[in-house]
Amino acid sequence: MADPLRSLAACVLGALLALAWLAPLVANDKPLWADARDVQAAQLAQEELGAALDQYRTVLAADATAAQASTAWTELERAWEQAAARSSAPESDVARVRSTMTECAGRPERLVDVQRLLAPWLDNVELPRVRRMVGSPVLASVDSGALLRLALLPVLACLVFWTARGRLPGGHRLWWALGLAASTVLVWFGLQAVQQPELARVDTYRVERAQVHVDKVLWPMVQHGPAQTQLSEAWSAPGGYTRPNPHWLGTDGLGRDALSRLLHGSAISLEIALLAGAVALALGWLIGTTCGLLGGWFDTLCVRLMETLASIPFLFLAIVVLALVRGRVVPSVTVALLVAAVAWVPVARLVRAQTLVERAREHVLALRVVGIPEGWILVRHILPATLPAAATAAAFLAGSAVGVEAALSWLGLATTIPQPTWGALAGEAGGLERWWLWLPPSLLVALTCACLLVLGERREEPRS
Amino acid sequence: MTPVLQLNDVGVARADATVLRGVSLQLDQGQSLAIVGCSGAGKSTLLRAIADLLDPAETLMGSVIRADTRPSWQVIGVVFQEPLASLDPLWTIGRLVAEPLRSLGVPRAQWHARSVRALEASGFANAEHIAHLHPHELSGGMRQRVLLAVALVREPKILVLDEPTSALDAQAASGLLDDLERLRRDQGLTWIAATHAFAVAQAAQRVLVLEDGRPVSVGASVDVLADRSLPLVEAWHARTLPRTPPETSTLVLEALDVHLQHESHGRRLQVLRGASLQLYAGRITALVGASGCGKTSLVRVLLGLQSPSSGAVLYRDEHGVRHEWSRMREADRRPLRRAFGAVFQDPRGSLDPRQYVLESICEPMIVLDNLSVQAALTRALDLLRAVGLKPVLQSHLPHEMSGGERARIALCRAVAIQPRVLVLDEPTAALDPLARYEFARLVRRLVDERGMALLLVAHDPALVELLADEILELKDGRCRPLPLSLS
Repeated sequence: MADPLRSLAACVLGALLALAWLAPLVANDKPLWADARDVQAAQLAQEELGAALDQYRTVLAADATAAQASTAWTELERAWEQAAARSSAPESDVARVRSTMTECAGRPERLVDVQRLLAPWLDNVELPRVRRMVGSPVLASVDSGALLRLALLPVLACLVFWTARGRLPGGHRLWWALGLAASTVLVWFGLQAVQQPELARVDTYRVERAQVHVDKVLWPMVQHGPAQTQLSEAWSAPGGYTRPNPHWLGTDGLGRDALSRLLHGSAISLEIALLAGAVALALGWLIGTTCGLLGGWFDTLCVRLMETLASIPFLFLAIVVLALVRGRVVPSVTVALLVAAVAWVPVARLVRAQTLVERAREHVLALRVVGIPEGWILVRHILPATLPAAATAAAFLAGSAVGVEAALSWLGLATTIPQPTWGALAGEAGGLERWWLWLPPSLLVALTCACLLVLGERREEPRS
Repeated sequence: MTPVLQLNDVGVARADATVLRGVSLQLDQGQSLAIVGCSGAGKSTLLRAIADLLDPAETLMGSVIRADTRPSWQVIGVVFQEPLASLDPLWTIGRLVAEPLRSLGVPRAQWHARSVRALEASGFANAEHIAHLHPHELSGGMRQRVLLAVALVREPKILVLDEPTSALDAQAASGLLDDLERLRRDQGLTWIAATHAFAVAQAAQRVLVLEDGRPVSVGASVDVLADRSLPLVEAWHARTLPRTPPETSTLVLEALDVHLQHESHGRRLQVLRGASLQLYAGRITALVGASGCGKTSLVRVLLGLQSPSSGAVLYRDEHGVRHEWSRMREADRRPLRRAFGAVFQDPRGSLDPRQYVLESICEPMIVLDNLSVQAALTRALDLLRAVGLKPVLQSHLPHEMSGGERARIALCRAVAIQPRVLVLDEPTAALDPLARYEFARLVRRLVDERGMALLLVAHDPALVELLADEILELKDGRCRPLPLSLS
């Protein structure tokens, strides 16, 4: 049953979206995984301990009051506890030192003991050893939206498989359960990463490279962040710059890596298309079936409304609305909703006509004759029958939404500035001669539209 | 006489199966042949093999030898099924008929004269007038004759017809057969028709019976059609079915003086003018009438899908309580509805194309009788067995089954909730005679067992004659009884 072209389109689209959603893991200036030692923190603790001991010694030497001595001792104890917390010395050693410290509390005459006790902690670099930081700086740095997208990946995989093959291997339930489980694990893992402050510090790893000793590190495929500028490398063409970390697709005017921006920008473009398609489908399907079923003045009103909406030039409407609401709403969502607000019209028209046909079909009449409730007939027979037509129209519209988004972003209306999208990227090229900036996003727009059109092709209803 | 056509052990193979094998026969100039058989027996394939119209995927085995060695499209005229689909709606009849002459290189000046001659030959008295009309202005029978004229305009020696009478009513069919017989006698035309219809087989001189792609019987039509051992022939000849009339028949549904008018664009169309009928439990009432006489409208009124302009439909429930069926509000009517059932004409979809068979049958039981899924399944499987269908079919979609199987499934579904009134609207329109006969036997048995009141709306005189306990003809908006034997 699977049409090879359809399957291919589903796979390509799924791969594009998966790549877009995985962009933080594929192209980032932070390591995917790092095993590092925070040398700076260890040194700080050591210095603090030394300072506290000096202070205590000075206080004792100056014949201070008991209260002053006690304060200095408390300070010393706190500094030692800090150093101990950062140490990787065996627990028994730490316990032995702690008990001796407790013994010496409030007994200035045992200063020598204390000095002897703490000497290794001050001299030996090994003892107040640096804290190991193991984990994923990327996951620790991504925002909740990106985490949600990562979590949705298994669901996406299931959807693509289902579209391409018409079924899921091993039964639907198993797969939805697996997808859900995988998503849960991913979210849990992400939250864990966010909650670990030590990991978040590695975040700044690139800047503080000098202070952090890295043992092992796993870099993303593209070691450039979408917003990471390098003015010295501005406008470099692909392959024109060789070093361990090349810009495979060149850079833009601020020296930002084009490939990284393309990957990160895909998500918004694709999501606008899918959101617009989904909203248009829902609206059109609902209004279309309602019109077809109810008829009468409601039908007339809706049809007139659709005709009015269809007569407004869309790009003009979009520019006016976006200019009016600028800065108050999320532009990408607005674009999607704007497209949907106009695009539901053809969907609704198609569904309305289909509903009129379906409700007069003889198998529906046969059910009505025996008194099956209208609601049941609507849900079980008419809605499923109109879905293919509605989904077809919506897929076509999603394809056109990609183009609309590109056009509006190119004009700078659809996104806020650092946020890359396909249209914005093409617009940033600023000239035809810098083909490496406008060609790849344009190709991706074309590819996405083509895939959506193939997917939207009307599937033949089983016929006798 | 010389054989114009000779088939030597002709067979047709497709990649996956042999659909036809071992057909040998010889046709002389001016002979006629009817190829009969059930759906899927290979009739159309044989016709295409004769007319040299096989698909590239099909390979011809054996040999087809024609006396005339010109290319087959010059020698053989072909008339396909579906008279409306075969005619371009934008062309006049004269132009449509003359179209084949272009390929023969006939000068344009002669086209009109020849198309008029062909139209006259195919039985139009006013051919000059007809030539200026468009297809939509003609009835189904006239369109079929136009197709005949299209085939005749090249003056072929052999004419091949696929189901020539399937879209025609009895009168138009006999007119067409008369024309064919006249052409055969006067012009020596050899015609070959694939058909389900008894009348065509009777009109032909020779009959070839195909069964599963093999010839079962060949011979003079009188001999073959008298051989009752062939199931198809038996189905044709069956006139009556054993019936056990109920001792007391109770009146279930009654239409009294029903008037109905449609109003569209300010014009009024009076469809029913005082139609009355009674349906009794355990009795089969057949409703016949020409196309467009209002049968469907009457059925809709009886089923409560439409309100009559005047008159009443009365329904008596199990307890003998009388309900004013046609004047009730839909909300009051709904609880009573489950005593009704309807099976509509098959090819237009009496089953939801997206629903599995078992689902289709269970749906009314689950929704209306509040049966558990398990109980509904059990009952549905029992029913499937009772109507003689294999349990394998339960997980099929409607389009995966033959017409006869679909008709039975639709009947199963209607019967599943034990209706008291069942309406069958052209249930066998798409079935071959054998499947129709089997279906009729099933309906008779179910009616006798369950004591339903059954209204059968049908064109098909054979089915009506097989089943009806009472025949009503709807004419001029009124029902009048007809004698039980139609022919």
